[in-house]
Amino acid sequence: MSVQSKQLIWLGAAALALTAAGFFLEGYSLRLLNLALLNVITVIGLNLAFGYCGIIHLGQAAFVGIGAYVTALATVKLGWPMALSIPAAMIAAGVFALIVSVPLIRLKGHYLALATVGVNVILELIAKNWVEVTNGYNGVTGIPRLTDLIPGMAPEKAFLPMVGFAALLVVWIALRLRHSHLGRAMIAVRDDETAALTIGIDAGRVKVIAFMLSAVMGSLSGTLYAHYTGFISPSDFAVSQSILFLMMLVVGGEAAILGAILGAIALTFLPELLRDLAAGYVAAGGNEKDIIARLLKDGYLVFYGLITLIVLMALPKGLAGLVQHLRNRAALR
Amino acid sequence: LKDRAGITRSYTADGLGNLGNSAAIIKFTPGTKDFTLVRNFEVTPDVTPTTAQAPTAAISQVRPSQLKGALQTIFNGLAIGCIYALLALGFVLVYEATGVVNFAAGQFVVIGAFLGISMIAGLGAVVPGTLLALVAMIGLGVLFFFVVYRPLQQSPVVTVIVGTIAVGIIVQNIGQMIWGPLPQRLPSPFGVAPMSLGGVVVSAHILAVIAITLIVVTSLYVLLYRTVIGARMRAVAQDAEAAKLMGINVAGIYALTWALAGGLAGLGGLLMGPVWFVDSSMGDALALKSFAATIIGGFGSVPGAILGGLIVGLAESLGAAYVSSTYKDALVFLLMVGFLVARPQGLFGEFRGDRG
Repeated sequence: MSVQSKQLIWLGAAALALTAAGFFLEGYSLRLLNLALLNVITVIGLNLAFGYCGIIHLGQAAFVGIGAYVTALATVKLGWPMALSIPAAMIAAGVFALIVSVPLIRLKGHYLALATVGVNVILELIAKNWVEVTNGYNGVTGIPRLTDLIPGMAPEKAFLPMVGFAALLVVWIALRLRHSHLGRAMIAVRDDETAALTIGIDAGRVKVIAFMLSAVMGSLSGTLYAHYTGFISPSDFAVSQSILFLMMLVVGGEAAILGAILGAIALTFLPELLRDLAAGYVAAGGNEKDIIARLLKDGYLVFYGLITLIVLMALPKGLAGLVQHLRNRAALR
Repeated sequence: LKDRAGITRSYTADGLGNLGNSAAIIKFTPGTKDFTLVRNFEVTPDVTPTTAQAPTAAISQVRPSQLKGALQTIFNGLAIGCIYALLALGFVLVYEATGVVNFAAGQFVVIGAFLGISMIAGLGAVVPGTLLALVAMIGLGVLFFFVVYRPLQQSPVVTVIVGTIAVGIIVQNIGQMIWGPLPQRLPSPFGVAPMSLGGVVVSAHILAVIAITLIVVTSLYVLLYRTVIGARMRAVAQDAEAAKLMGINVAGIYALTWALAGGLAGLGGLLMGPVWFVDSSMGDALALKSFAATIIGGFGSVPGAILGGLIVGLAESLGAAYVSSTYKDALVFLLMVGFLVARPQGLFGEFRGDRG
């Protein structure tokens, strides 16, 4: 069976699983699944820049934010329809990425990491303080919702097929890209830029394209988020959020599409799992106010950090590497 | 100065004063000791960090219009610049020795200040408490070396960067659970009572900040360039393999470097706490400004770190006074990005192809 048809089978299976989830899950779990799928889109985008092309990108939330804010301004202030606001958001993010990539792409290592952080911080400050346009800390409300297109259905349920479709589309694009000329060029640039240059790869151009694609995917997630919740605020697009996206990718397994998916889903559901554990701990006679209960209930970021560290030290290829390892062992039996 | 309740408060010259759980914003009439109370507020547990930070915006209205106002602004910028310089020195030491940038350094500063608060309260004495907190921070640096850096030592730079980010998140959130999210103030071993020095309002603490920075910088210089240990450190920085072959205990030098970095971050936090508020969410911003200082001065350069720190402090203080207080951080980062693009080696750093 060709690689392509195998990929299509997996995508079909994922679509079926999502449909089943739509039937069986309710309310809050469904909402978490929707948010997880939005994060899948963002993290797959990040994977193109960071995983494939080796660009240490600590500003992905900025591009999600551009997507969300352009959407909010286009619909709420200018009254554009959603059919225009979504492409407008993606184009804006792509153009912005192109502009900032001109100076940034020349940098490497932690210099690049810091510069991307700088970009994110500046955009965050603008979102918080340019009150006439962004409403400052209060954020923007009243963004039209995609789910209103399907009246009479619970918004969580109505949104699942939409975000599911977008996520599968992004996964498909990423899969197609992986074995294309461009995808291989990205990986070549990551592994050894000088070697890539000597065999005629325009490393600068490849990096700019990877950065732009990553931004456009981030902005798709942002515009869908805005059209899903109807409300956005600056804190959703802070540097800390960028760091979470990076952790999702590292935990899942960088440079692997499966890793981006697993990491985004696992870390989106983790806080909820910990909250259940906290409830179980209290039910089993634990003190509600002691450090264990508090850590489980509110300290999910501590666990994010710990899990990331453990993955870095013990599982350098992340969850995707673990899956691969288990499959190899099963195949040997 | 006494407030309406008759409690003596300390006021920093930039118009933000605080004592215990209350704080006030005052407007100094430039050139005189006259002031008006702009806003007086209590920092009570129900105040969220955002509202507690809000008064910073009000300071923007206090625009110095005269020469002495400008002098005051420059002085304030240099004072906070000293703190950034100390943090930048920590980065430079670690970067020179290990080639790693510690993204958790900002959280170390905050934890240093918080440890100071707890230890001063625990011991009931300011000076021993401050010193004990400093020792604890040196310990934290060594711990970081053994638990985080060493296991990741052979990994690519990216992995180590993500590792330090992960540690930063762990430290920040544990700190927030123990000490809460509110801005806090630390007692000063030197006193924060304001006094006038040629029309510029200063406090003993701020003078001590400047003096300690000078002392630390000089001692580090002596350590690095006039002692055997310093020679070993520089040898390890140049080529760890060769240093090992010469019989230098490389792991020991690394541990010492991280200890110094922990100590410098802790010192930064302990010096910052008495005058500027410290809260658990400010670590990232602090680290970023010190990074900016390091980049402006030149990664890996000791004089560069000092000058970079002072430039960042000045840019922040002058930017807040004359351009926009809300965008003062953006100004600093724009300056940093400008340097990265136009002069990636910074003011003092040597040029290296792999930097940009």
